[in-house]
Amino acid sequence: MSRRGKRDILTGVEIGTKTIKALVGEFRDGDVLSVLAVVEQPSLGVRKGRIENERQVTDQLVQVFRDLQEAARQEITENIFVAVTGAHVGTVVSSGAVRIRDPEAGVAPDEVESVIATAQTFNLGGQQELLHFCDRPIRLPGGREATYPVGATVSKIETECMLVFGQSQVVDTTRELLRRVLGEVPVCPLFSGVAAGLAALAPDEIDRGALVIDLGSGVTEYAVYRSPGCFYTGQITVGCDHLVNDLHVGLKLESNECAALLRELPHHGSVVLKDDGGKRRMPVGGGVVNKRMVPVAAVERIIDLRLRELFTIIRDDLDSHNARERIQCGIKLCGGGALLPGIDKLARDIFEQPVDIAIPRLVVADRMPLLQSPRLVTPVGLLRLGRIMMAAEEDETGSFWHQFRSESRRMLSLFKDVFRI
Amino acid sequence: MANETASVAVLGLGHGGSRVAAGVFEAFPGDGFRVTAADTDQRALDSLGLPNTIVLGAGWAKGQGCGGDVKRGERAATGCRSEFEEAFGSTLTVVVAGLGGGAGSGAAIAVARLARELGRPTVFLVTLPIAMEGRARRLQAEESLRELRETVDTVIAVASDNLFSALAADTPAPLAFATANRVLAETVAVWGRIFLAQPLFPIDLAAVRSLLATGPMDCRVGVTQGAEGATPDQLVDELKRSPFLGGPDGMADAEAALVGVVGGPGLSMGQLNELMGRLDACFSPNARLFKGGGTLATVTTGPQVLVLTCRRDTGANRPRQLELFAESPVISHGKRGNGAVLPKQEEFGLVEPSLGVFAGSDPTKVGTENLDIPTFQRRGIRIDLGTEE
Repeated sequence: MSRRGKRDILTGVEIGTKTIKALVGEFRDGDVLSVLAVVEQPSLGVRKGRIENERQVTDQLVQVFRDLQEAARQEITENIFVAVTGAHVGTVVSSGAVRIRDPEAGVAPDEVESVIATAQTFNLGGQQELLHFCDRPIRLPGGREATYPVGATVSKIETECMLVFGQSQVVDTTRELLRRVLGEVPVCPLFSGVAAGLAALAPDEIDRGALVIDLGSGVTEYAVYRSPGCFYTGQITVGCDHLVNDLHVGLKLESNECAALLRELPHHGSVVLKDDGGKRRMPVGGGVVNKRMVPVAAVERIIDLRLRELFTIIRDDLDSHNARERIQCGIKLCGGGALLPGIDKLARDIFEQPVDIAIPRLVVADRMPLLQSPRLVTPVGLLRLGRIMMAAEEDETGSFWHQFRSESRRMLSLFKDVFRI
Repeated sequence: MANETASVAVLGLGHGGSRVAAGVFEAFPGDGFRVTAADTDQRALDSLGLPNTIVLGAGWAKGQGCGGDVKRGERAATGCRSEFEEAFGSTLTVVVAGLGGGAGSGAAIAVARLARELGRPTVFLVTLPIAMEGRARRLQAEESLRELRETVDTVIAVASDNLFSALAADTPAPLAFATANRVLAETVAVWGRIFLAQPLFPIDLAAVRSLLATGPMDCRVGVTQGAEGATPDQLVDELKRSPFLGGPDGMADAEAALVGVVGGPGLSMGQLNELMGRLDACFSPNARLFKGGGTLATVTTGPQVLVLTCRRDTGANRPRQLELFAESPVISHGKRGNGAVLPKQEEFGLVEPSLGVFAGSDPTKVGTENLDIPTFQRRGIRIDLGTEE
């Protein structure tokens, strides 16, 4: 990792099921990310977020980084952050408690550090690699919560820590593929679900509580953010590829025809079923004459069922971990699936909260329109999360999420300065 | 009334539902319900004498029915969207339909989707065919019920077979069916009255949802229109004889129940207290009870009681369960030496659940469900691909 004072160029790579995206940028004053280059290529050797054909992915990464370095006019040798996702990623919540030495004197700083450290201690086992640990508010007797309860006159404090882990073999494979392409460079794996929120949410939204859902082709990740940081995150290996497959089975069409139907859907209907007795029809397949027409309501029905089920599963998972009650600022959708027409309405039905489509915040680039897309939220998030990781490494006085809190407050302060709020 | 949205509306779908709606209109004209019947059969609708009717599929079915095809019934109903929008009530809509045929089942599904889209508070009271109507009809009813439950969470399915537990075997058939229609009409009307009533202790749709939330429930309904001066014991005895309650022990073995009482303005606390006490005694101490009561000026007789009982649906009364993706059974016949035809063991054409592009990949599982199988396929929902035009 670089030292302060030197130009910090960061690179984020997302090896997705449908596309590989890579982004190079550096942070300027005002917490704005200046994007130097963005490259995207179809992904061929990945299914449900997991690399299945290493050779194919390696060949593609070679091309991606060649184009990226050329576009950025920069050799990429450090500060590389790669998104990790898939069924092998899991979360566990570990708890810790500390009895206060002198309740009348109040909680001491070292006691706060101690309860956090206790909660962070968890034996994952040899086959898992820790990706993140996310502190939660500290609980005081009587049900109160505080992020830093120094001075509180209580007898005991408790807290939890959410640990995000991935299967070591899978994470190592990802790291290894990048090293094959770039040489022996440090590569930091980050869970996509945690990264996306940092690009989609404003600091006050993170403080007050928000949910980010990243709908990809192979995997859907979700994360609830609430001060002091990421409260809960998860993934499910269901994505837009499942919509295409459902259409393929239901309409008895080829998969590529179904993918085209999905792209054309905004011109004919939405993901929310609107029953019209089959009046609306849309064409399938190529050719100018004798095009087969399918009822739009049939397409909507298939997609509506799948997406409602997906959102319901996420909602139920959040409820079982007491995470949904933390959401005060609503929900942001990102990823390619967020571009589906009407998906915000459908999500609103299930979660009963306001829903918006997210785009990366505070970015500047020569090709700005390209960046104003929910598909690039995770790659941008990788850089934001990466910067926090770098700052945490350099500053040894606090835990990672102390750094995150500091960064959040700094971001909020700068945001207010820049926009004169 | 035509230009206002009524507070409580009754919507009868298909042959059976329309007759129940007509029963409500005839027996409770002063209650202010908006009553509508919808069917593909125009002649049948005309014979009901209702002010509000909807002919489904008027343009293509030519008022003649959809031949028991659920998808045709659904298509016909979705074409009447604006008429159905007018038929909803502002406080509550009770939708009544007999499942198993085409118009009732298909229209129920279409109306359920519309109600969900518009956010209209709705209760679906549907009946399942009696055994003698045949297995195919029963299977079709079960499929439609499954799809209905996927769409809305306030579906009360009542088995018509319960009718025979209360009526004598020598009851003339026309009288038996007329009794069923009358009881259902009373059930709908008392339900509507409970929602119109000045609440003393209210009951609402959230209670119904809570009652039905734990999964498919075997539901039974009992209703009594109290005669003036009837004692609580007499009311409870009459309730126990309700044809759809499943016999005198229909309340005793319920796991949960909704109990609603509506009386006239003169209903006293003493009467209400005593009646609720008698009703409580009919249920097991472990049963979860949701109780509500109110008064309504149009109730001029004694208190009226509605009971909806639920017990977990074990499927014991369903036809032998076929594989989820089974097509219609094919029965092949052998021949005796004398030429008579013997049925052989039934063979079922099985449709394998399709994984499509996910065949061979590690399955995505939540609980016991493989999410790689299309959602519509796992739920047994048929996709209407329309007709060639």
